[in-house]
Amino acid sequence: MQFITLDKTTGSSLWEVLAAVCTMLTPGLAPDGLVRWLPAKGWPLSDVLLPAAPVKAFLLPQNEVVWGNASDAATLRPTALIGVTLCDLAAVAVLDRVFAADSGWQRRRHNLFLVGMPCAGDADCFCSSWSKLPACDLYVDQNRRLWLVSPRAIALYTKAGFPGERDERGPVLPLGKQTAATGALFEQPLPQPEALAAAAARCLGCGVCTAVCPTCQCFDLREAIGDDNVVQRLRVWDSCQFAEHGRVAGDNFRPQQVDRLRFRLEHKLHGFGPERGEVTCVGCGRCARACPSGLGLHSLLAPDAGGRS
Amino acid sequence: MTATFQPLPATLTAIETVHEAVRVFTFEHNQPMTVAPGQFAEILLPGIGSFPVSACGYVTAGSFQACIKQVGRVTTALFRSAIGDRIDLRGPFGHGFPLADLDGRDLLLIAGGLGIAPIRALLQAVQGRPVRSITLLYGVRRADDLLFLPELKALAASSCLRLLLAVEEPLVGSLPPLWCNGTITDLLDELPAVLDNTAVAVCGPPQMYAALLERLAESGIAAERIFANLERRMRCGVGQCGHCVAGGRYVCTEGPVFNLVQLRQMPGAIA
Repeated sequence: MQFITLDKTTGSSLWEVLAAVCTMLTPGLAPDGLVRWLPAKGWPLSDVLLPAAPVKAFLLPQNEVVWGNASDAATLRPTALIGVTLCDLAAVAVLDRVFAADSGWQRRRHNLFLVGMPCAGDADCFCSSWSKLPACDLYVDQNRRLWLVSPRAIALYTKAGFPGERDERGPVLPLGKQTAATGALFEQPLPQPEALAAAAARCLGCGVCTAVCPTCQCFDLREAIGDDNVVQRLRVWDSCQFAEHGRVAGDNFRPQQVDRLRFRLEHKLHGFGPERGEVTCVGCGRCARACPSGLGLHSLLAPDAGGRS
Repeated sequence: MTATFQPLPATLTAIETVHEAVRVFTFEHNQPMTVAPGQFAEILLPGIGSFPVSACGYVTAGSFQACIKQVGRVTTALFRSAIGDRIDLRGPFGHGFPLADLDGRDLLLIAGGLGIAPIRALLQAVQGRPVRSITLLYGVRRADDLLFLPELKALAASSCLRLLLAVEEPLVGSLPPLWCNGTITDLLDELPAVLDNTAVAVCGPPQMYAALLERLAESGIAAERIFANLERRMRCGVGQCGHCVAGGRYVCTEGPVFNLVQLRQMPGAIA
C-alpha cells in the first residue's frame, strides 16, 4: 500500500490537492455542544472526535425525493470527510452492500471522499480490534502517514506529483475497545426473555438509537405534493422501534416493544438479508450516548461489563 | 432520482365486484412486466399512497390483476377510481411459487380468506402445466366471504379441480356438497392417506400457518414441497427498507414464497 508522510513541508500541499476538488469537513465541537462535521482547514493534529450523527446522514438523507422531480445532486461538489473513525468506515461498508443497487446512494457515495483516522474512543464505545482497514479513500495513521487506499485517491495524488512510498504492511491500526474485561460482546447470545422484557419496559420507543446508529437503514416511502403541485415520492428515515414499523393490514408482526427491541438486536448481531450471519454493530456507542433510558446495545448485551446502564 | 423507485404508469381497465368490500382490478401498461403467481407488485395512487398486493390472475405481459379489499385510506381511494384512471405500478417483486417444481405432482392448494387471490393466480397458471391432480382447500369465516365461487365450482364440475370448502360460521340448514363447518385444518381429514407425491401451496392469514404447515409435514408431505406465501408490510420491495424482515430474511426479495425447510430456520416468521 502507498503512503506519504505528513510533515511540515508536504502537509499543506497534500491538503490543497484534496481541497481543490472537495469541500473539506472534519468533526468539531459545534456551538450547540454537539460534535458535528464542520469546515476543516488542515489535517487534524490529534485523535478525531466521533460526530453525533453517523456518516449515513451524508449518504441516505433523512428525507429524500426518490421520484417526482429531477435531482441536481449529480452536479454537487464532492465532499471529503477528514477524520472518519474506523467504526464509521466499517458502517459505511455495511450500508454499501445494502444499497449496492440504489442509484441515489451510489451517486452520493461517489461524491463522498472518506479519510479515515484512528480515535481514542470514549466510555460508551466498544469496537472490536481492527484486523484490517475498512474501505476508505485515505487513511491517516498514528505515525502521521497518509495512506492512499482507493484507486481514485492514488490517481489524485499521483497526478499531483505525490506517488508516495510503498509499505506492504499497511497502516498500523488501533486496538479495539473490546477487551478481556468486556468479553467478546458480539458473540453474546441475545438476552434472555426476562432481561429483554425488563429492558423493553424501560424503552420509550423513541427510535433515537436507530437514528444515530450508523448501520440502521430502515426507511418508509411516503407520498407528498412538492413545489408546483408535483407529486413526489419521499424516502424518509424510519425506525424499527416504532409501533407502526411491523404493521400490515389488520395485524402487527412486532406488536410489543420487546418484539421490536429483539428485532433491533437481531439486526445488530446477526444481520439481515445478504448480511445475514454478519455483525452489523460497529461498536460506536452512539446508542448508549443517545438513549434516554440508558439502553445502549453494550448494556443490553453485557449489563455487568461496564458502560452506562 | 432513484431508479429503483421509478413507477410504471398504468391504466385501470376493469373493475369487478366479487364481494361487498372486495373487487378485482385490472391494470394495463405498455411494459413487458408480468407478476407471476406469488410475486407481488406495488400499486401507487399518485399523491395518496401505495400498498403491495399479489397477482390474483395469471395474465399476459402488459396486464396486472389484483384482488383488493377496502380496508384503509389508499384502498378506499382506489375503490373510488374509475376505469381509465391513471394508476402507477412498481414490480414485480420477490419469488413466486416455483411452477416447475409442481409439475408431475399432486398439487394441494390451500387458501384462507383473501389468501385465495394468489392461489387463484397459481390455479390458473398450472392449468396449462403437467400437474397430476389439483385439490383446493378454501376456508373463510362466513359463507359470504367465499370469493370466485362460480369459477371454482365450474372448474370442479369439469373435473379439473377437487374443491373443498370450510366455513367457520355455522351454516343454517343442511350443508351443500363440498362444504364443511370448521376451519382449513378440519378439511385435512378429507385428503388421501398417502401424500408422498404431493406439493402444497398455502396462502392465508398468519395465524393459519403455525397450525397448518407442520401438520401437513406430519402427514407425509416433504417439507421442501410445502410452500407458503408470507404477508408482510412490504414497502420498498428491494430489500432495503427493513419493514418486511422475518427471521433475518427480507420477505420482499427472498420470498414472499418460502418452503417449510426455510421457514423452520426463520424464527418468528410464522405465528
